[in-house]
Amino acid sequence: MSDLADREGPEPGQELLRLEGLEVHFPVRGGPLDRLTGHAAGVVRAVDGVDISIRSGEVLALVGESGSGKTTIGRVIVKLTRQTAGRIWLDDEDVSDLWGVRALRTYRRRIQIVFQDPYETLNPRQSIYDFVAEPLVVNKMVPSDQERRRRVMDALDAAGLRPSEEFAARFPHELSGGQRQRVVIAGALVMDPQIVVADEPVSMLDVSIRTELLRLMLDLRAERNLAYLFITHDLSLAWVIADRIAVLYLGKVMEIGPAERVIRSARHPYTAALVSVSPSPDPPKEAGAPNRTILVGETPDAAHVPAGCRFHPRCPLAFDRCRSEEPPLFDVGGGQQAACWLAEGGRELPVLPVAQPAQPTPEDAQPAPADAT
Amino acid sequence: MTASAAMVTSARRPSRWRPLGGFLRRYARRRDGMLGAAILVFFGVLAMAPELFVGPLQTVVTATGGRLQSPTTEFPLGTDHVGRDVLNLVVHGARVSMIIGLLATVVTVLIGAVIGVVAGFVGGRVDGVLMRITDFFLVLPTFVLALILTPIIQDLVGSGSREILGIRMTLIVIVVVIGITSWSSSARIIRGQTLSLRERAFVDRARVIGAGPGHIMLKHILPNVMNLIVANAVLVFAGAVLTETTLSFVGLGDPFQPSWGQLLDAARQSGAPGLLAWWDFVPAGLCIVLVVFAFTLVGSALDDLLNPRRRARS
Amino acid sequence: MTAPAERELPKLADPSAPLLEVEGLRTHFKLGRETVYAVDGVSFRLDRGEALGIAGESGCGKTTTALSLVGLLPSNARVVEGSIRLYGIDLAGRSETGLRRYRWREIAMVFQGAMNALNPVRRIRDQIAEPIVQRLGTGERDARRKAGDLLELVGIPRERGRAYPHELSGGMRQRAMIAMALACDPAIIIGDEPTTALDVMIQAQILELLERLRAELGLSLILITHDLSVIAETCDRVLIMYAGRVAEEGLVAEVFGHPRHPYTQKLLGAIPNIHVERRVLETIPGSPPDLRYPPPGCRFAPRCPAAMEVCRTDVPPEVRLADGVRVACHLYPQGGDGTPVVLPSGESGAS
Repeated sequence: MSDLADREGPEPGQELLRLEGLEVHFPVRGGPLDRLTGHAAGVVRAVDGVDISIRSGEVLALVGESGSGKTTIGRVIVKLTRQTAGRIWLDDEDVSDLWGVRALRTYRRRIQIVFQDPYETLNPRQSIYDFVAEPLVVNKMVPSDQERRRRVMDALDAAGLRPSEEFAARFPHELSGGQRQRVVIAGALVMDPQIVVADEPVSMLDVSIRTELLRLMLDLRAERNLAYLFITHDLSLAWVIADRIAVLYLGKVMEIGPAERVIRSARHPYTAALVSVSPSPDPPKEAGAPNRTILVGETPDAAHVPAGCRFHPRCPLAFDRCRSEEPPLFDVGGGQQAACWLAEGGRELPVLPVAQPAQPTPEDAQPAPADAT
Repeated sequence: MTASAAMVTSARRPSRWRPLGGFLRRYARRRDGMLGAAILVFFGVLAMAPELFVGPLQTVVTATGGRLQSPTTEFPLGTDHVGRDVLNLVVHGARVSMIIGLLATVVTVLIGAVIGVVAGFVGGRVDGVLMRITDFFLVLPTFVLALILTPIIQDLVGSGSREILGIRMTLIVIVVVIGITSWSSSARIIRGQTLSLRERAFVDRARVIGAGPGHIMLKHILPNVMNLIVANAVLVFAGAVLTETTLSFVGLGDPFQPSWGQLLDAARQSGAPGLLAWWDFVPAGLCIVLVVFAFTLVGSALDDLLNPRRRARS
Repeated sequence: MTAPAERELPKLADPSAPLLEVEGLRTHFKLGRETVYAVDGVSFRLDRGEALGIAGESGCGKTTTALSLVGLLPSNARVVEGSIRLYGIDLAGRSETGLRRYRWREIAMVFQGAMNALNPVRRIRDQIAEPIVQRLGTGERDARRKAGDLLELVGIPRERGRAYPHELSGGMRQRAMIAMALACDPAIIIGDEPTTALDVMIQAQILELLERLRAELGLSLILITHDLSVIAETCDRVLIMYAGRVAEEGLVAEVFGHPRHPYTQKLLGAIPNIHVERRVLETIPGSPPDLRYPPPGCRFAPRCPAAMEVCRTDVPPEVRLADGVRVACHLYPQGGDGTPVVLPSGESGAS
């Protein structure tokens, strides 16, 4: 059984999936007059130019708050949502325009998803067996009933649901949240995928159950050389499970690199702020007042992305260039990249001021951000 | 391995039908639903085997009573204008009314469900087209349309004494007409439910594993609108019985297979109300009221029970 | 706003009594013919100006405890035993009318999931003004002005008061909920998972706001959450609940620094901590007992790696140790020295 601390997992293999310049823009419906004239009132730029690659057997965490676009990226990868621009490569093959049930058959065998809500992902009227067997049935993968049954039981077994025959006959309402999520994982495994997109897979489970599920996912990674795109808003969770972490803000990658580097020597102010406010169970009173950089305001609406560096209105280290020019991802060494002018030339971040939010700025007096993740 | 691997929450033998058992138990606790169900079962039994209770259907030829005799021990509900035992007629009438109601409901719900699910799930232009057609039928007054269509279709088909499933052609026509005119509200309701189901995570999951729209509609959408279909069907049934009654009452029914509506029409024509021969029309009318009332009771009980918000998450 | 320590106490208050004292609280639910023993013997105390965190996982009874305090239990739940003393006044037995003097004016609650607790068709400002009008008898215009003051206090520009809930972001809605709780100037605010659905940055803002309000207004706080890290950062004392009972209680520095109860140790070990080296995370196999049929003895025994025979038969008594920590575990008997029995990490349960 692999420990979560075991960072010497399988060697990261070669690149499996690559996203280039991925953009997902949704038109905003304006008022009735706009609708009559066919005028789009605006564009929600949920994903606004993302380059990411996933290597075989690695756990890449996509970390971001609401509005960051992380869920949308996951949906694009499993072809639930269509990208509006950019390219997707699977094994050097351009799959960007691959669409339609039949065309995606091979693609779907290799990339699967685990959703956040174990209560919603299972159809209440479907038995566990039917749920796990469904991918095989739908793709006509296994002609014989016997073989199919064996594969379903193997998948349930691998997900820790034993005795598998018993669980296979049950219905979702008879299982606990943790068990349901295992069923969902079994359902993702049965086609033997290479990449699993896990969208907040443990956030709806109790704390004591989470570790089991996480260990299961890592065991499966070791056994099957699975790669995970682990989507989460919890940086602490990413810290314990990921090989690499990508920090997203308002549809773009702010920083990406090996977990150790991104967390311990963040080169982007947003990452540094997130790390500083991540709560810890260690009693802080010993260490004196904690050094938390609490940013002012909230993530702006993805329909009103700030000019220049999109983080600059809330950045405690912003200067002139940030307001007018958007920084690209700079290589800062060790496989780490940060999209910040301060990172140009490989400099380290100055210490962040412990910003105390006073009254919010007028920018906060704006409507709720569009639900774009 | 971790203990959770072996933990199973219930020791009983698993069954696909266990959710059904729980549901029946909850239904049994509702007085309104049980009363309605009892009435329907009563009439259903009468409809299935009327001969068992009152012997064969009396015709003009086999009538034994005098004209419009008031109730006696021999004729508990008196006789009609040609001397037939009213009780006999009413019990046999149950058969026609209930069967027509059932068939009409099946047709209505079938058309409505298919169109509702397809329109709701596929969306886009298909949805637009289907909904315009649905709206067209929705705003047409059901009864007026039935009134117009019935003689036309009867003419087309020929009102000879052909029978399908023991039901004469004329009544089949009524079934078809009711189906054509009532499906649109079912379609609308089912489409609404489909729209919300479409956004749920298990549908997303089905897409991700590569299921096509047909599979998703059949395996995921349909089972989850089934409860709505059933609740809706119950009310459609009531409406169908009522519509058939009315059509018969205005003379579009079949005089050889008297339904309750037929009996009412016959009574009206024979002048029974004027003669205060209440036994000729009150029993049939009462039966109609009871049956429709029973349906609404059952429908309301089902509607409450199947409301997803009431279902507690385990 | 009233400055700290100058509040006007309710008529029956005993000024020498602690602010809030809960003793032997038992709240049971009726589910059909069965009883759910949701809260089964919980005692704690809250002093003026203090922040107490009540921690536990789903089903431990923490929310039920909070609802018992403000008298907002659902119709099938009842406080069957115990006392809830506010300034010495027992609220437990009181009727709805009897509680009205105290609810919102002395104890207010910020509910979980602000979107569900806010009325979607009324403006924020009006919802905040409502308790001011109803409870304090203030006129509408004055109440609305005060509502504006409260909005500013929680960091929402006064003009935004005209907005409807759906026009505000999640963080703003939560701030509005806090403003609503402050409307009648209560002594105690109970926050039920106030930051759970929020992003970590917004969570930090809200917690920071609560700290500031505590200092400025002399508020006492009961924070209910499953997130121990949040409690570690904001509370003075912590109460760990499991399956309707108290497992451990004491100063945050003590309980989190030297946890005694096996459940506390395991729970702390299961939390990822970004500020330390990556390590093996703890797991607690099994799940909490069905509170319709709670096990005899210690309710954690089925999952406890250190369970002994006595744990399965006898309910562990609550023992107060030298450093003020209270723990209910047979590993710490009355009269013992109370040294923490540290469980080896990574050991799985003995079920």
